Amino acid sequence: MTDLELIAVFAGSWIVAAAIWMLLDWAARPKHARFRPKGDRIHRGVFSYRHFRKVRRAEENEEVRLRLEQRYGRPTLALRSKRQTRVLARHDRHVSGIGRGTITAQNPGSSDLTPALAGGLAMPTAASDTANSDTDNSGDTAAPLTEPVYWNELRDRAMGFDGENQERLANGEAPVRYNPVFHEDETMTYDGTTSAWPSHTVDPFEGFTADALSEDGLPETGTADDESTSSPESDSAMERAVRDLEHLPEAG
Amino acid sequence: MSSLSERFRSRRSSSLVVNGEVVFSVYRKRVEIGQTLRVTRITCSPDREQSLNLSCSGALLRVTEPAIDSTPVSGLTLRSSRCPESVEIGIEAITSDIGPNASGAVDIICWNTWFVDDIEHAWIGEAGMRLAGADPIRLECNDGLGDTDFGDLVVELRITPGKP
Repeated sequence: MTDLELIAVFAGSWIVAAAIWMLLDWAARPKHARFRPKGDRIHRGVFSYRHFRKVRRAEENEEVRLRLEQRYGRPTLALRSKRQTRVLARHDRHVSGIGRGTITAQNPGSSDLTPALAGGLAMPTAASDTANSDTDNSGDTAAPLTEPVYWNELRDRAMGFDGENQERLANGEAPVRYNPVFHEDETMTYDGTTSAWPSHTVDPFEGFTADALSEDGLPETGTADDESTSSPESDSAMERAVRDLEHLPEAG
Repeated sequence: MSSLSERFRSRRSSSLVVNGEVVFSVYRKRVEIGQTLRVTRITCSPDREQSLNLSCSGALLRVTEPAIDSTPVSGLTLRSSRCPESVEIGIEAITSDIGPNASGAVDIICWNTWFVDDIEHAWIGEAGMRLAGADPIRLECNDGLGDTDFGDLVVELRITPGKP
């Protein structure tokens, strides 16, 4: 074999190896070049539907439903729309131990999932699952919503959100707005109880009502007829200060 | 069609021309320190609580009438359920190294907000204001809900020289 043939064989073998490498890399690439956790996948294919069916079967267990209700405020993830299921499953797949073999179907026929919970979020309360008589919720308080669930719920309330913010709420994300005072975008925040936009203003009339302000600008004081019915809690700070002064011993 | 707030956001602007009218997300007015601003609420939507917010950089705002002994602040919220129909606000200097410019002129910024479930909202949906008068300044505000009729909150602003 001449030198030229040797070089050609060497280069050719490297080209073939590179082609095989590229072929293997293309075949092994995830579909659409995007990673999707199992809980995010819609039901296309046998494996995706098997996971959904496993979730639904696991929720026939009373303990699983109770733990779901404590975490999410409702006892099921499976009877939701696909988008709602994705939002919840993405953030906590360990609540029910699904996939770990720790939950067994004790009462496969005792499914008492409320039909009203299907297709839309309801306001979560401790007594939302009234059909579950085995669970004593008398001492429980409403579980705080996780942030994505809260934003998803806010979408159904008429507050003025539209367009991009509706999509963000549907995806469990906080809405945004443009603040023209500071020329920047702002995001709504959620503290576990309620949500609020960033605020830089003060209400000077906090604690007042528009009717309570008299013409001279001072809060109305109690009249002679009202003295017997006035309570310390409803009097203004000025009246309390005057009463305190009246009880002081006279000087000298 | 995108909403007013989306158009404000995409343009990063506080004013738009809509059907031949100028619509503001915030209204700015140059005033002098020492002047007073009288805010009068003309009409207010009964469907939702409305509010007019005022902000001032370079000066402080204090409610002088009614005399509620308020603290001077850089931003005020005048809610329709708490604030009387007419309020006088004094524009005071900031007693610090960061003060106004040499002429003593500062900008008052006004915008409207509304309350739903005790959450204050602004600059979303079809929120906007239009100027319906120059002297006194008449602002017709629209909240982010319902019809875009700019009748949810109508206020008048009068600027008067300060009291000696």
